[in-house]
Amino acid sequence: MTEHMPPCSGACPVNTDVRGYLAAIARQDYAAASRLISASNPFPSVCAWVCPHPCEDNCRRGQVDSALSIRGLKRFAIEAAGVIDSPCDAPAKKTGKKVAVVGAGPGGLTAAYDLARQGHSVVVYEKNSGLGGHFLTSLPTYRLPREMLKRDTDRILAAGVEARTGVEVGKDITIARLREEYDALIISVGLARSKSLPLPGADHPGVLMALPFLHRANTGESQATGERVLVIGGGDVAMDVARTAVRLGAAQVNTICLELREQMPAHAWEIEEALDEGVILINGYGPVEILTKDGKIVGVKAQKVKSVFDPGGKFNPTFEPGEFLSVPCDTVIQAVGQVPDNSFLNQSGLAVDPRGSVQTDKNTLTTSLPGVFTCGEVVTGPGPAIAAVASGHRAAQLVNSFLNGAPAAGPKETEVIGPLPGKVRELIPKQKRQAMPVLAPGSRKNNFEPFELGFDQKAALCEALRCLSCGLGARVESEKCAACLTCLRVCPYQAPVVGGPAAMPPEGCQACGVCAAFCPAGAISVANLNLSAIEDTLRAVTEETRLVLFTEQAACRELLAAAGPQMIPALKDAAVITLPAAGALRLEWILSAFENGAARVVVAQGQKDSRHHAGSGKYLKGVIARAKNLLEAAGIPGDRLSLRKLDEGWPVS
Amino acid sequence: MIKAQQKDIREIAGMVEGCHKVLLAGCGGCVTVCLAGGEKETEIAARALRLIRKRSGKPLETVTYVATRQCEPEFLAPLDELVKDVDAVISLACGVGVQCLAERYQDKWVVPALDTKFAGGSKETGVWEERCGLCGDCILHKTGGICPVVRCSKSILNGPCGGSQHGKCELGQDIDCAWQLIYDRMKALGRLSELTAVQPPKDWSKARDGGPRRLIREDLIADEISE
Ligand SMILES: Cc1cc2nc3c(=O)[nH]c(=O)nc-3n(C[C@H](O)[C@H](O)[C@H](O)COP(=O)(O)OP(=O)(O)OC[C@H]3O[C@@H](n4cnc5c(N)ncnc54)[C@H](O)[C@@H]3O)c2cc1C
Ligand code: SF4
Ligand code: SF4
Ligand code: SF4
Repeated sequence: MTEHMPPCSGACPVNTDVRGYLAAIARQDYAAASRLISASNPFPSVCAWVCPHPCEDNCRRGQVDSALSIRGLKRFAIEAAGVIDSPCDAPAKKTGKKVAVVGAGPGGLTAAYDLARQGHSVVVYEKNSGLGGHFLTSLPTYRLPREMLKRDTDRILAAGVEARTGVEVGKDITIARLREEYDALIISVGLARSKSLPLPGADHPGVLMALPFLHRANTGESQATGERVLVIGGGDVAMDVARTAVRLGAAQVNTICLELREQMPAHAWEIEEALDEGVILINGYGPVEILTKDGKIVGVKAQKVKSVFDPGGKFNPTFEPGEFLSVPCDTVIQAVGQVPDNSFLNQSGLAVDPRGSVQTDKNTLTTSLPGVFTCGEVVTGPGPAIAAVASGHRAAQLVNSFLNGAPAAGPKETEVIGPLPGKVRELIPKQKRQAMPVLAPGSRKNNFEPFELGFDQKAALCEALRCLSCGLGARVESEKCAACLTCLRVCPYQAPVVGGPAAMPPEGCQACGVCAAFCPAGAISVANLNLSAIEDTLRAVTEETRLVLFTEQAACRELLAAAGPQMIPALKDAAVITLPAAGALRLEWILSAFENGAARVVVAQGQKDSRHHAGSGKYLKGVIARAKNLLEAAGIPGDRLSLRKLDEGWPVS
Repeated sequence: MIKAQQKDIREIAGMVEGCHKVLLAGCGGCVTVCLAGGEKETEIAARALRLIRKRSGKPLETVTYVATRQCEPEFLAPLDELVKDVDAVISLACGVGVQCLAERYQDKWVVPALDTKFAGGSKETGVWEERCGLCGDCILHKTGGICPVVRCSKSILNGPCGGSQHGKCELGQDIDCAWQLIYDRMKALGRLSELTAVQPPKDWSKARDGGPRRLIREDLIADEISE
């Protein structure tokens, strides 16, 4: 069967099970959430702080109100869970094969981690004195506290990866030598050098390069940054540079780029955060000369841009003749892109491509020499770190099969769920996205303290509960379906299609579980509803169980607790069964609870404005009435079963 | 389709009072569609009966099975094993199913869990209405597609009676007068004049009055001799 993948996972280069960990957060199982996050990503802590979250851009909630704050929730889960062990971290049985990895960035370390867990002996060679690539050297510390990086690299080392830092391949040891010593080699040297524009005056010592500038700032090394800084570039790195210059005390920081504001390659939030911190954007101008006077930089001359892209969408800037602008400044920092440092190629015998970099087959990640593979940004070009991680996974898979002489497994058959049908979009209750709390610009721009503060538990739960559980919906066992149309009639979204046997298209189904509660044939299963866990909880009910609580997700335990302290004693010994919607409740379960001895059963419905599925509870009253009648037939007073709406308050009296 | 309704659970419990173990047999046909006797209802009935019996200190063991259709002998074969060690069989099928089971399991106490109500269709979620009297001699072409046999409280063939008031039957405000409906429809179809023809007394021998009925399709009766 083709697996229906939610678009958040589909957009994530490593297909992180976003839906799964959001659900784990919602049920407050933070360890499980953390495990799910780490399952496909050896940099969970780092990514929780800095991933540009392509998942959010594709989240289907965005079609209703706004996307889930996925990265914010990831950070919450990682922090709430703390450091956890995962059984798969333990080094596997040794294969006796040796692999060398050149470069300890996210790409190389991911490959190393995977291969070590497959039992190979892996040594990583890194020219820096520490691990992490750009995470260590380039990302500003106000966005990425380095203890997050250490948490991730510690786990990678614990898996058995050996790191040799301070060793530059091509200088201290050659590729040829490594080939002799190891069965396979992975080159993951990233894009370590800042690109420089060949402008007149660019060789002035006051013209700085983004990467060394950031590196020095991160290590606290002093550097002469003047009063008026001009950053050339309009990408994320340029924003990091500008914001770092602000924090270093520059009185004025301008950035200049060819693109208009909406064309800028930097992410919108990076631009906004920079603006909040006082950075000034000069859009639509291309620097043509660094102006100097008496050996000092006094400004940059720039020409007005006519167009950045040609009609075919290719980067090919043209300029307005004679329209110039001069921006006064004393420091210029170039942030116009990164290129590989190719010194590792020295005496390697590797073929090079026209750009002078290692020649690579992008599909097989192989080079001109057998047993030498590549991964990370040196192959993929600049992008989010998680793309380098994905490339590292792929390299590990290919190297493992190279070492075992077996073909690498093909990708799983998955289909990304399409957009929400318009009518369903209208029917989903809107729920406000939780904003990430941040330090105010005034309190953050003169220091390198982390400026995002993270969600507290209440915000995290509210946010996690906004997830639509895409793809966890209803499936019909067609041999059992009697085509009675009940599912279509009770579905709050009219999602089922009943021609012959019913079918629930994953685009429309919101996984509320209501249809399955009413299907007379028991033909529907809903992945969002953990039936066996529910049956287990009910089986564990005994005469000692004072309360069985069926609660819809939105009314989950902690949110209930927040509703009033009176209820906590009542909940202490309760068996709690969480449902996607209270309407997913089944009469059978109530009977089982009482059959096994429960003293009381309460069905709790969330507050109207937090309710996830509008109209899903419209049959509850009838179901409860019927259940009471059956209970009374057994001599059980009907008031031992009750329906509570959080709007109407608590406690259980 | 046939529409049925589950009996009060106390009544069902009463039928199997002396039993220690019962089989609840559901049906995947009409009674699944009308939400009275499919897998879900079979399970509810089983759990409710166990609860009642547990509370009265005489626990009851239950086994459940849902036949594709209880009215077809072939679908009953899987029950043969299950009935062996039970004291009674509770059928959640229409009366047909109950009888098929009783016929098949001569030595078993077979009891009905449903009241078989009528042949009808669904009006809206949870509401079903009677539409056909199974009279064996359909006259819907003469009455605008509305059946006076079941939809007229008095089954009058030349209606309406004097009790028709503002479109409602004298039996109750929630009952539409079938003859008003027939009249309105025929009028809309431009066939009002056809209603002036007096309907002769109906041949009720084709209905239940002629004794138990049987259908035989000659094209499906195998000819043993020429084979
Ligand atoms: C300023 C900046 C900010 C960024 N911000 C983000 C962000 O917020 N979110 C995000 O997802 N991504 C961000 N990125 C991108 C991200 O850092 C990269 O995608 C990622 O680091 C690429 O990983 P990699 O392993 O391919 O290369 P790198 O991280 O570059 O690692 C390569 C490693 O190889 C080492 N190396 C190179 N040559 C040799 C040699 N000859 N011998 C030994 N070692 C060698 C280098 O020292 C380096 O440690 C940012 C990048 C920069 C520059
Ligand atoms: S609503 Fe949830 S499952 Fe759906 S795309 Fe967004 S995060 Fe993923
Ligand atoms: S409710 Fe169940 S039996 Fe009825 S049409 Fe839907 S899937 Fe089929
Ligand atoms: S009732 Fe709920 S689970 Fe069933 S099809 Fe509709 S949205 Fe999906």
